[in-house]
Amino acid sequence: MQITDYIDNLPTRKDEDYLYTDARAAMAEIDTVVNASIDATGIGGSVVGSVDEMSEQDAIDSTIAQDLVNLNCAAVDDILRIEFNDENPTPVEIMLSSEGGKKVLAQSRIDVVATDGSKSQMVVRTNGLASAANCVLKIDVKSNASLDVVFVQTERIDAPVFVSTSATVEEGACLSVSTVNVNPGFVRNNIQVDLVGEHSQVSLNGVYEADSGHVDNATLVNHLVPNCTSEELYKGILDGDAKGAFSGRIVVAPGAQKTSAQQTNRNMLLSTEAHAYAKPQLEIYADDVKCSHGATSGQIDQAQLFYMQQRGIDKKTAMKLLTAAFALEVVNKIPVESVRNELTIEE
Amino acid sequence: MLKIENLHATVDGKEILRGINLEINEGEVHAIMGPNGSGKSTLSAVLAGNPAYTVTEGKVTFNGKDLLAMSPEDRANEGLFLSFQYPVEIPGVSMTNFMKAAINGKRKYQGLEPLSASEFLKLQREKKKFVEINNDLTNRSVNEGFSGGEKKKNEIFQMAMLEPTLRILDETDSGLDIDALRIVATGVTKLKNEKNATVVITHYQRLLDYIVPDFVHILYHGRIVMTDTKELVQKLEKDGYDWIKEQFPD
Repeated sequence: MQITDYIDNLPTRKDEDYLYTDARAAMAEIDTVVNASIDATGIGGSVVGSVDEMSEQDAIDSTIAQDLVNLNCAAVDDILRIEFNDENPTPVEIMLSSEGGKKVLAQSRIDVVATDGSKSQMVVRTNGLASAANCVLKIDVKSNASLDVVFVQTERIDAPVFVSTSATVEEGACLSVSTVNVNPGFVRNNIQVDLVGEHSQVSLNGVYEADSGHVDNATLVNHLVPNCTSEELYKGILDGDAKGAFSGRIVVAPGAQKTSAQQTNRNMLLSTEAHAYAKPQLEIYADDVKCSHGATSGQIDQAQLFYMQQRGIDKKTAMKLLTAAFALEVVNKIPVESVRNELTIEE
Repeated sequence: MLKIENLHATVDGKEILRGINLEINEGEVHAIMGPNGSGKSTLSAVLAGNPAYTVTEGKVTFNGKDLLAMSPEDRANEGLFLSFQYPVEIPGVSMTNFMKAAINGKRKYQGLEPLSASEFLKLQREKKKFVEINNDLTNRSVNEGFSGGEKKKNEIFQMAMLEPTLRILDETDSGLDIDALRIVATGVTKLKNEKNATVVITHYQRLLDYIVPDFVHILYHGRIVMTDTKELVQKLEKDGYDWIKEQFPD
């Protein structure tokens, strides 16, 4: 298959999982496919890094991003592999970058293994991208390990960016994935988590803030075994003509009793032209589970705004404080302190 | 300082203020009393610029400027302070960030540089001591989870920080126990000087025992129907508002 065939295979809005993002149309202008460059810091000691040539064994089965993953596997030369052992107090920082503008597609593949009982953090930054991008991560969190992954994009990228994560979480392990998109151009994040070991936990958190452009978070959590917990909290602040979407699917497999799954999506709309879409989907095939989901969208609280203005705070500053307060619930859940500090208004 | 002429205002299309006239000068304390629903809180909301209310007629000048043409924040920075009957909770915004934004908003309006972090903290420390508020309150989100008394004390703390020239206290006594009432009233009194004026909106005598008014106005059906000295307060406390209702039928 030619690369163009892979692009022609990408999902459109006719695909249930891509109702809000037409991946094929977004990539229609692509005429060159390259490898994105990856800068990683913090590798060494108990964090082992290596670069391997991509092979057929590296294919990934994905429910919500299969075509993007296929496109990625077809053209990426090398995989960056990171293995976390023991406890690592300092997060690994990964910066993805590229150049070339809208007609160039930069791709990357990173595979992460958190070995038994390890405890680690990783930050993936996409601010360096200056072309379209299709980034794929595969994450294995082994028994009793804890891994926090944070994706951060805070500078506008004038090309479509797709970031797809496929994770498995084993017995007693914990995974958290936080996604920050501030001023996105066109972003779609796919996160699929398979809870394969009992008593495993996953926490997915996202915050997106846009006054134009498009940001779509799609998550799929597969509760495959009993006694697992998943929590999702996504919050969006949308102004101008920005479009924000959240699709969250939770599947509780037959026999996955005592599952606890929670999902929340809240949006604050600051203009009449901004749009928020929410699509929660619960598929439950077990009968002793606790699952909940909720989605809301609202405006700035006028009483709070007036109270602040009455104290001499101009409307713009007051809105900034109120939107930051709205986002704070998610920001506080980001386990990497340096990222949390970057996103918090200084005291 | 403040001159209100023939002020009419509506909320949700319903006329609440029906021709208010009132003049307030530096150093004066005015009490505005009246039965429920007479328009007392509407008057304070309209003066502060609450967008839920619409002014349909009349004129208000503040320090010689057209108050009604100003944004709520400019009115505040010009010196108007409204102590809210129900101070608003703002989860996620710390008192410190809130107060710093307020102080620096006012300084910007006055063409001054913002306060440095240490200058701000020093000022905050002084004013907290002055109004006897608990150290802990400034470490929390604005009014979040505060008791009724703490919220009102917090209003007085903000007043101390911002040093307004026109202080409007909207039912500040509602929901206060006697100790909190004393602290709040003492704070307002300690902050009183010959340059600022105070408008106390209240139902009851008890706040006016501490903050003694020079003038007492009775607001009824959207108009000031009577203005007298503080002796009027005793009469209201003794006889209630029924005689007003009889004297000024709709």
